[in-house]
Amino acid sequence: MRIIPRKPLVNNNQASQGTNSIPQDAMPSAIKDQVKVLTPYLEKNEDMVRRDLSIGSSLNITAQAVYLNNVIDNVTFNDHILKPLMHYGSPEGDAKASNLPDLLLTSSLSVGQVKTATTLNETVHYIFDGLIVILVDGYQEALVVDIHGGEFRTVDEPPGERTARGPREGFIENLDINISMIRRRLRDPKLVVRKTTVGRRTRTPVAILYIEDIASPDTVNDLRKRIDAIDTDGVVATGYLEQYLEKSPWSFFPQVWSSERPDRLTTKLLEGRVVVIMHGTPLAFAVPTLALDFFQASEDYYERTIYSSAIRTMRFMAFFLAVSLPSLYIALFAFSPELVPLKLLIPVASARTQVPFPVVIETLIQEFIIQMVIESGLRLPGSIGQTVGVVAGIILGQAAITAKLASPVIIIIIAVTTIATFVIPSSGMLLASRILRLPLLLICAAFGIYGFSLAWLFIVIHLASLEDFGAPFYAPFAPLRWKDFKDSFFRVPLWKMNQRPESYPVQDKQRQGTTNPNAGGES
Amino acid sequence: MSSPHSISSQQLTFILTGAQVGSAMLALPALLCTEAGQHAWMAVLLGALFPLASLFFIERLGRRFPGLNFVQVNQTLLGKIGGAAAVLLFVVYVVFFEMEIISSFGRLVQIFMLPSTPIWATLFLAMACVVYAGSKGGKVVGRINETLFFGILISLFFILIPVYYVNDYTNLLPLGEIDPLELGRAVLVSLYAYAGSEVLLVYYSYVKAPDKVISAGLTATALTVSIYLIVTLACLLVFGPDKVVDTIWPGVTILKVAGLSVIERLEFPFLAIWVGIVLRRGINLPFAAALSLAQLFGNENRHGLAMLGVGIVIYFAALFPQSMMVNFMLVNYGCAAYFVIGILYPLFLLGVAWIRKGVVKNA
Repeated sequence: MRIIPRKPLVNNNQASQGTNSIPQDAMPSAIKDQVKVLTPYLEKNEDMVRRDLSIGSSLNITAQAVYLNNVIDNVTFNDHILKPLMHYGSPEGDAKASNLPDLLLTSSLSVGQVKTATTLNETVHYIFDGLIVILVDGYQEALVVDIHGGEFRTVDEPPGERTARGPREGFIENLDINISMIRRRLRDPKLVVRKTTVGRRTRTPVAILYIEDIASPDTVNDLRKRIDAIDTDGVVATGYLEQYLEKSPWSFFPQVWSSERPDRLTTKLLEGRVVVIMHGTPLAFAVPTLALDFFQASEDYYERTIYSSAIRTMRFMAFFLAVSLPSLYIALFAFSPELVPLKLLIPVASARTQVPFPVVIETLIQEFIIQMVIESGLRLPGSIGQTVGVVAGIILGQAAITAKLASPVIIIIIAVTTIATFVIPSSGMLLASRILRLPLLLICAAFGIYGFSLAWLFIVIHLASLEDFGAPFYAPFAPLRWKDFKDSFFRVPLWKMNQRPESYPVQDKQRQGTTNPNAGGES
Repeated sequence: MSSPHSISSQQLTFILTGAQVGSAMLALPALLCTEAGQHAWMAVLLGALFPLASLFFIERLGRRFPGLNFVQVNQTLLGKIGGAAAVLLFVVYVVFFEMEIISSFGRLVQIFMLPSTPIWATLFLAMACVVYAGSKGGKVVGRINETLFFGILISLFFILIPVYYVNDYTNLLPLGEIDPLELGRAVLVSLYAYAGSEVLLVYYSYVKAPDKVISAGLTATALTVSIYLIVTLACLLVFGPDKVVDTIWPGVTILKVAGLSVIERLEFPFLAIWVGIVLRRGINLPFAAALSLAQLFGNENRHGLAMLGVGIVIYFAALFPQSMMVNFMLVNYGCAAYFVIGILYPLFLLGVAWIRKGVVKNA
């Protein structure tokens, strides 16, 4: 991870204060001077709205609301800000009161999030953060109102994480709505939400969520420090943040687990992880992350133990196949055909007799083709993507066999490998399996089964060496944490998971009492 | 903040087991049967006294110097130059010992898996793996040992398959007609199999709970003895002592006796797993040497560089033996070297510590 010393950690009140060149000068009190000092920062932005108004029918105080078009909720603005301000009727004398902005905030504006700004720097940042700033003639303090609105995607089931039995909700691009989805599921007063901003120019709001008496304070502090150390122009998606936080950026493996499902993030919070949600992206992530997390799906916990365990084990096998099957094919048929039972060897060898390429080249060609098919399928719109898949899978495959450019066996090998790849529930690990396949393939081409063993040994050593936020990535397998095996290759019944995982630091290890379902749920 | 090399007592158990069990697992039955015939398994049991003695002496030594690493202990007792010389002697021993281990490994791979690939290429890949693991530090070495230990269990399962099909218990008989001298010679040969336990000299100071070192060491010895006992008994039951003597690696040859319908030749999957088992022995000792070197030069964090240096030297040294006969000759020297470094050396240091009580107190 790259840590560059820079701005101190900001709290909520300071969140909008940046480090750029906008002066920290106090705002002038006359509105024409206020407009004058703001103009250099606002004049080039044609989406900036400046709405002049007069506060109070009898007071007739000149004011100006400044905000960005389509970033605020217009209905709330009209009904709860403009109308009350224009109709503000106060006892005579209040008009000249030194605390008029405070009075307006407390007795006129009927919206939730209000505050004041007194410096030029604050005022400019609040405007560009999407808040409404109301300049009031005769007062240095400007009213600041947060009524974010505009168009957002509706809450929908995330396409990449569908479940048959789980909730159908997924995060959207709005930070506050995403936080509310977690809050609705986790009504614990100990759930802490800390906000900060990342990116000097994008000033993207980021929320750090954790349960105060479960999550390790060291993890929380470490994470906050690292997020605060990010000194960049901008971040536009959680993927940016993840890359800045990862300790081993050159690793094949993703080291931060992310999801679009609030239910999954809620369970992570309950396990003692720290969750990060960023505005503008529907993906949130949780740290510390273990390799095991990438093989767990939310349905594992919604279905019965036997079914979940069987599927979980199958996922691990699928990962092994996704990484190894083409290389094993090479190792066996190019190096050690004597290992293959004769009844299998003969048909495979006879199918290959007319193929002009050696096994290695044949496999590499097919692997390259399937990687292109996957990439094109991912980027193309649904129906076209499916067509490309069919053309590649059936027509191209059949044509290659007929033209004797590939054997049926390699088509089967590549097809099984591809299917196995998409069994992995996490996109990060899925990509890792696609990439890892190539070096394994090459090493097996040179060293056969021996190369295969050593390649996996390299992978295991690498996995064992990854560690972040006090959590060994490869736990509970190395270091061995026997108790955490209850949610690894298999999952024991939920009522048996009395302790939180030991593989990463938590404050409160006890997850639940000793509920025995056979005794009717009594403790 | 904990050291990047700190290990749990559980990891120490697996490190000690991993440092001992390697290619010896495959060759040991033949070496022991040559001396003790059907009583070879007794030599396995009696041979365990060596690692136990080594464990006891090193633990006593470590207990006298809590918090001091291997280099500091040596320099406290033998002086700066004397201590440095002793550490360098240890490093030379490791290089010599590993030369034999890695070289035998290369020969085995060449014979059973890659007959047409040059040995320098197979060894290069293996040593790259060793150096990579060692460069990651003690913590990672501990973790790798934990994971790979289970490979031994799978290997033992493969070895037991032929025993199910072919076995003759009379191969172990008659009992009790052993010449004590022959048994004694066999026990000395078994030193070869138990060499590696001396890594505790270096790892001791990194164990998080030093009070558990003895129990970890005893567990490791019990595991090692069990593994050797199973392999030796399996070979004896299947082949009998006379045929075992005729094979170089009865631990692999035994797998030719039986096959499963889906895996016609068991030795290939066995060797695929065994590669990891042997390389544990290849990782644990060189890492101990590299860490000692880094400590000697005053920068423990440069263990990666030291590991690269040690790895390169071992690689070229392992290319030196031109045949298996040279390897078997080296085994004899290896046994003697283990006796000196694993048993006599800690005993010597204990003696010095006893004589120089004042120095120990100050340390």
